[in-house]
Amino acid sequence: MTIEVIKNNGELTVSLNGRLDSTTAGQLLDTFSSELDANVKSLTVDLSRVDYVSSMGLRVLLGAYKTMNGRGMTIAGANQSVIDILRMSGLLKIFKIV
Amino acid sequence: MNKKCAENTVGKKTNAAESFSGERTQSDDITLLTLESIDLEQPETALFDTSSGTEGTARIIDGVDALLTKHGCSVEVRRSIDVVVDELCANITAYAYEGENGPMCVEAKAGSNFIILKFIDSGMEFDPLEHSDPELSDEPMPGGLGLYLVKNLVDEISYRRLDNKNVLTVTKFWNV
Repeated sequence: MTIEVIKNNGELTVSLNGRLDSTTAGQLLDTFSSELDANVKSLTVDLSRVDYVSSMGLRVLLGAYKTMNGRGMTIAGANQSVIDILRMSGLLKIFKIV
Repeated sequence: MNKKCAENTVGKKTNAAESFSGERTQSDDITLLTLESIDLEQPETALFDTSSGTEGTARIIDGVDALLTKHGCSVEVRRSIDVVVDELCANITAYAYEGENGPMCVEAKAGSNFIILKFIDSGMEFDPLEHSDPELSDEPMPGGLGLYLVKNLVDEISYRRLDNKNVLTVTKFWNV
């Protein structure tokens, strides 16, 4: 998986390309650990080039949501398979999906 | 076989029996059962024999995905099977050998509308089907979510302890 990070006046966009699963979740965790600081006002995770997300990926996304602690977090471009997994795991109602 | 085809098959047999018996009084019951044979004639088998950990998991996911692509599986089904493979390999990686790496093997059998995957490890005995599903309403991302997803994404799942190995078998059908 490749990860692209764009910062723009406190708006952080993290774009993923590949699969977000047990083999790659650590990469995203590292990215969030280094990029999610107090200066980030909103976070968008672009999943438009992600094939699927498994529970390990979901845990990292939920960790970012907790770190954001009320600041805006958006999941963008998720395909139907990813939406289905979010729904099954009960996370669809937590994230803002666009 | 779809429902209409099954009904036609039963209907033809019933008509033939009625035509044969004519006006004679029926003296016993007749039960007709139509079974569908699901392309089990020429399945392709593949063995992914590796060790637990992210590298082995990625190898198995790629191998199974390629097998599904070869058998005309839709991208949606492939993605759901990718999730299943990742969840079950991640479980073996995390729990079978107490954090160490150990043997992790997947036997795959695929046809034009199904795949059977056997996940085999030599770790401590663990029957995932004995554990109840998480309470999703209480807390997001509870423990056991991965197996809960697996159960929802496959059509059949079973566990056996065989020769000191955990053997978890899942089956997924498509286009049926």
